[in-house]
Amino acid sequence: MFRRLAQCFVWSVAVLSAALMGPAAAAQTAAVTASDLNLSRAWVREASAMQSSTGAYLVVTNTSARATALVAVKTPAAARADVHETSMTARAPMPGMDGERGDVPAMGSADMMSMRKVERLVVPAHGTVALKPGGYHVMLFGLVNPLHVGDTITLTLTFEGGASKTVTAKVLGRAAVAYQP
Amino acid sequence: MTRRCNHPWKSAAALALLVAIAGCRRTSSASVPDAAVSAAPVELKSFDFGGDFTLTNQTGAVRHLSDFRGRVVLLFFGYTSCPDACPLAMSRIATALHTIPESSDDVRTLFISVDRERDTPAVLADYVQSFDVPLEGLTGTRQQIDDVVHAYRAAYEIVPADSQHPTEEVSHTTYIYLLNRAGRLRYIFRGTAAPDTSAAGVRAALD
Repeated sequence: MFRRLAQCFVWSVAVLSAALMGPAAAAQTAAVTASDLNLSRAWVREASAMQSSTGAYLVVTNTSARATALVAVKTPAAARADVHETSMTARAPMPGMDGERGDVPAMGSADMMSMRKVERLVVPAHGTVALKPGGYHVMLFGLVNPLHVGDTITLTLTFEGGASKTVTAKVLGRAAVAYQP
Repeated sequence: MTRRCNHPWKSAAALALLVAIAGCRRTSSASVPDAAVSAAPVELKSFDFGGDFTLTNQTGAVRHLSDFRGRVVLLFFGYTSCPDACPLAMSRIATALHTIPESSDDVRTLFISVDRERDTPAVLADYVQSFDVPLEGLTGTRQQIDDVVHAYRAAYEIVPADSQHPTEEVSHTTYIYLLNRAGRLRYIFRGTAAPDTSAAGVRAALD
């Protein structure tokens, strides 16, 4: 009786392990390919001839069981494209600024807006990353031409492992805060 | 036994709720380290900073804060090459003001550039017409700009181009200052404040 129970237990563990480990093992060997990735809702903020840079936004969806990361962006519209994050950091005190006093609101300690370059933007397995105003965005540096509302540009995104995918981005007005079809 | 545990899902739900509440409390206290400048409008009890200034607008005209007396003023420090945070803040202001019909006459938004090298009056003129709201772009000498920045306890830092940033960038505070019809500082919002929040502040200042 005891032997049978023990055998039964061993078999259960074996079957369960196979069920759990199988997909994981498969996922580890299969690289994320372009067909696993979906780029949508791409847009770029208009830029006049007086501006040399602007921001672009899109949604990246990874339908595979393996996480990946966005590592490079290229576009014919700009000399260089990098993923950046708008981040709030501790403010640098201005020279000569008084210390905070009890009757004056203490201005935030994390209120300097700056941009941080993101070398690897992780896109989780079966996950989505939205590049949107106030967060992640693609910075386009050295614009080749002004970007007028209604124009389109292409963005080619390269992911870890080499998969790459191109999307067309619409130029929206400077006041745009989200993709508009 | 059956009496004590006849609704195990209830105790599980209660436990989950407790965990959630505990989690939320911790998160909110960590992410809002100071209550003075928050997403909600904060009314200032004393007005010992802010004040008048002299700058030049997008048409090249000399402008003082006192020129706007009688109107509610929203003040923002930024720069036109700012790709993300500044247009977002300006758009949110426009969204807020569109909910207030009298704002087109009674509210003026001032975009003070801290990037005087690049933001000439001509560049500002191009910029301010992008936002569907009465907006003036202001610049000045370095001293004039620094005086206003200092008076409003704002801050900025010009970051030279380097390997990470191919062009010069400007780190800056993104507060939105609301001044009442007498030119006195009344509220400060974060640039990320929801339009409803700044609209509520504007309505209160218009009353």
